[in-house]
Amino acid sequence: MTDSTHLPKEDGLLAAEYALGVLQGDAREAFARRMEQDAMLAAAVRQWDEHFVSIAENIASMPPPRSVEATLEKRLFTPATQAKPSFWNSLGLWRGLAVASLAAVVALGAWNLRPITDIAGTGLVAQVAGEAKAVTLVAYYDATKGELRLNRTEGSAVAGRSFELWLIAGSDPPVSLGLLPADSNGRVLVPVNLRSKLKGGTLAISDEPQGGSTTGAPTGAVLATGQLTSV
Amino acid sequence: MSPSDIEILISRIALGDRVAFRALYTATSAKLFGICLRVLKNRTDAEDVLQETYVKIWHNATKYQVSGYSPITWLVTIARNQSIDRLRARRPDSAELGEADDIPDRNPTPEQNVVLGGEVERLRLCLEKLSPGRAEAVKAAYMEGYSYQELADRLNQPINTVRTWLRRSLISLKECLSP
Repeated sequence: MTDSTHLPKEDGLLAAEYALGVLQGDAREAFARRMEQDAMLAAAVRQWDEHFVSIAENIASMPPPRSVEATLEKRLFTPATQAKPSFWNSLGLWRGLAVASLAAVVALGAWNLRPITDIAGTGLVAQVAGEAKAVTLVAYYDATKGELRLNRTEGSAVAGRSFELWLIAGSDPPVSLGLLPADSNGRVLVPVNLRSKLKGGTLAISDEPQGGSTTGAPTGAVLATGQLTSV
Repeated sequence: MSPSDIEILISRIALGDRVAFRALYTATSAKLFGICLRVLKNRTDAEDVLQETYVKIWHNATKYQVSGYSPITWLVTIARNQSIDRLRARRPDSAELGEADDIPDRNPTPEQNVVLGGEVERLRLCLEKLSPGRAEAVKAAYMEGYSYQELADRLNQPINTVRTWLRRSLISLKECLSP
């Protein structure tokens, strides 16, 4: 955790004023921009937030009306308005990816001298990416072999850490598919019981302690996600 | 629900886990709605802001792990900040609102009650050590979203004077809170 003890006094005060909310207008925006670049400033604000939050502790809880949850569900989970990671919304990306993967299937079909229709319809593809570009890959699921072929285009785990691959199917909790192969072109065999859940599911990559999460659920930052769609 | 239970839910939400999201909503929405109501003093606005708060939680859960925040602080701070933003957006053309009297003070059921942790008492004790009136200004700035200008107007004092003594209060608090 970043230590903010040695922050210059003026910055320490600005952090307190920012957390309290009295810093406003241009001064607030300027500080927010600095905070994005400076982990010590962010840590100082976080420490104040941790203290100030207790001012809100004695406020009586109040169950909200049921309509709020219903509207929220609709807003977040109705397909037309689904907006999990922002790149999901990029129709252009998906179209581009679909065209690219179709081209890949065509190429694959030609290579194997098999009718394309045999392969199309059995394969799934996902572009797994995140905002920070810590790791980016394209995943292709070959249903005939039950394996995911991963082509990592960006990123590798830092020393002492591992990337772990997860499947989230519908509203099920994430299931680990194991560590991401170190090789940029890796294969992961999908357990038989999960194969039927891949279509429409989401692949995600999290940053974990070396060897992977020990809790059965992701413990570190989620670096990239992507949905599996048919090709 | 303990902070570590909530932390696990947030890490599942980061992966798009809707079941975890619903569980988090059930466990924390009464707490966060209470905060939105207290800041906004208006039911319609509070419902709206509560919704925005959970939209933000859903979208920002991936950033939670690296933020270093304790889980409850993270949730409460989002609700409080969203509420203050709404308050400021509507403030220029709204009169001073009194305590809403149509809001009953219902006690939370045990499962809706969320443990905040051990920092509460510490801040309270440190606030008590400030000169009279100063602690109230700090609390008012946090819960009502007052700017220096608004604090100055309310206290009928020059803005620089208010800033000077509020900063002194913050320095005293910092010293008192330091381990």
